[in-house]
Amino acid sequence: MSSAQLVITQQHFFYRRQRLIKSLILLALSVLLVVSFIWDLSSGPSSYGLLEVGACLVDCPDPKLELILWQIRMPIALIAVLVGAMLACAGAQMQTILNNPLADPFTLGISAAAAFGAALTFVLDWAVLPVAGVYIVSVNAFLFAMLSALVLFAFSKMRGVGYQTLVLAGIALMFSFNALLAFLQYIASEDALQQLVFWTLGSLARASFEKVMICFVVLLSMLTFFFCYRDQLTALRFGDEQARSMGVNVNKLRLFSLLACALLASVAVAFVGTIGFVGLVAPHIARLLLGEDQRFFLPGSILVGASLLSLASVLSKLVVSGALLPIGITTSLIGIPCFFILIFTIRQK
Amino acid sequence: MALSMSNINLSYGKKKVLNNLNIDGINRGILTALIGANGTGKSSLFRLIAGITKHRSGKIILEGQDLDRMPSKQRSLAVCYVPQLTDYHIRITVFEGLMLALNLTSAPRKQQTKEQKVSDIMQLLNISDLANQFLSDLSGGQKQLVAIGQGLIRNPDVLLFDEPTSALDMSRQLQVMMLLADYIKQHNILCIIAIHDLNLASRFCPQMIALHQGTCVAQGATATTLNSQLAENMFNIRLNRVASKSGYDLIDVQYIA
Repeated sequence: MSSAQLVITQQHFFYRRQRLIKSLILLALSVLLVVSFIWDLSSGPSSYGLLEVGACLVDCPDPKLELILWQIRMPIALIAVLVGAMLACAGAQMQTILNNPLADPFTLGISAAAAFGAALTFVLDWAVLPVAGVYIVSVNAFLFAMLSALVLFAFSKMRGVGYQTLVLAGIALMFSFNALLAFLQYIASEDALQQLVFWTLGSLARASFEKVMICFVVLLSMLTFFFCYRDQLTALRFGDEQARSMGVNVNKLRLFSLLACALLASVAVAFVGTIGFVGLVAPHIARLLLGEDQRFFLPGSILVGASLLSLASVLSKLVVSGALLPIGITTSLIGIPCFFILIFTIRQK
Repeated sequence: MALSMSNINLSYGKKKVLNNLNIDGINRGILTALIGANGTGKSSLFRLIAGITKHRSGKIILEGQDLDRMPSKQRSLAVCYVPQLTDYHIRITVFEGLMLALNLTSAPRKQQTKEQKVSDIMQLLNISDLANQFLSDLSGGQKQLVAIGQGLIRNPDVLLFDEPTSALDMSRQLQVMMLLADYIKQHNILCIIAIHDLNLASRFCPQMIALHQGTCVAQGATATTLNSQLAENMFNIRLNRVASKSGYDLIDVQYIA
């Protein structure tokens, strides 16, 4: 074998080995997700062992455990996984299309818009769709989150608006909705304020199988979209000019991806309230572990996001015995150390 | 004649970038140099041919076919524009970066064939040792070589390089120009290179287009087109051809105060 042929063989071996390692990392993250999901199911006022819960998922001999598991804990545990995945997916793609490591539904004002929408119902008893029934707060939050995304979308279609301007517009939106929210808090009654604060802290307690299904359908359809454009999305990180030279329709891809991210974030926030950090931190962890090829980066972000929120759900039950701490608080408690470790790791690299 | 342009006008707002530009015909298989001072519209012309920018009027004809009537997907496969040096921050390896460019071309091929193609391009550009390095960790010149590789691996009909040697050392500049000349001759590709180094242009590009204030002021064989009158009008420099021992004319330039 000539030395040139040897180099080529080594390159192919290394490339395939890297793909194998990344696949194994994804497998490990999947295992972490399953463990955290079962841990979430097993934790609560009536505590059960992981194996006991795991076995009950297949064949449950204890009717009491079966009832607690399927009627009470399952929707909460499932929505934690799905919302974590949705926020991480939205964050990962926002960071990709806007070429900004700080972009996520929280920093671009989508969560703030949702909170404002919810506040309108709590404080002024006003709803865009009064016929929404039990979903009145969620629908209001969803519509305002989508409105904020559509403003960003319309802004991005304006001539000469680059992605950096778009990020600034998102930050401006966030401050605007936060100011409006603060005004509503200022004029709110004591009861309304309490409800609003609880909602904005984020809670999984409102989960139901209906919401789980909606989240699942939205996540699956948006994932299909992103997966179909995986190479084009990876190419976007080379910069607009280089991506265009590789045949990517940059403007169209950015617009549709932005809408997809907005839909993911809006549905998630509408059902569980504002939850920060997952959308920001999960993609960074996935990037460190798996690089930025969307074939691995996207599933990696989703698995990390889902695991983070699932673990946060466990923590929210363990911190104060017998009480369920708002998930938004525990997410930040987990997210902040993760973020610091991440910054430290990057600095070392 | 493979590629020609007629009556091309392009403006950015009120600023006119290309002004009634006419280029008669550019041949395949040989390098064509595109010269002109900064801001004369070289990159804009490339973006226009690649379909990234839309022109206000005129026609671009490739092998008798109007490029603007070509479906955008087909056009992006036929014409590849490699922009000026960009600073990659993406966390993927050089091998993955080249594989990505290949994946974004037409029909999917066997994984093994694709891997071989990536290795061949790396070997051609003499960057095999960079295969496993992250793009974000490369030097400017190394990133430029990868960008050239991403263009070549797409195997287009038309290749447009915007200052492909600007970040390379002298040895690499010669290497790249030599391999590009050989590669496009071998694959019969139409290739235009925007270049500021008149010595490289004179030595490796048999054809030349001179752009001045958005208009083509000269076009033809480099040996006759690149003369002292043109250099004085376009760049305000005095140009002398000096015979060298290597057999190539050296372009000696002096600024006219």
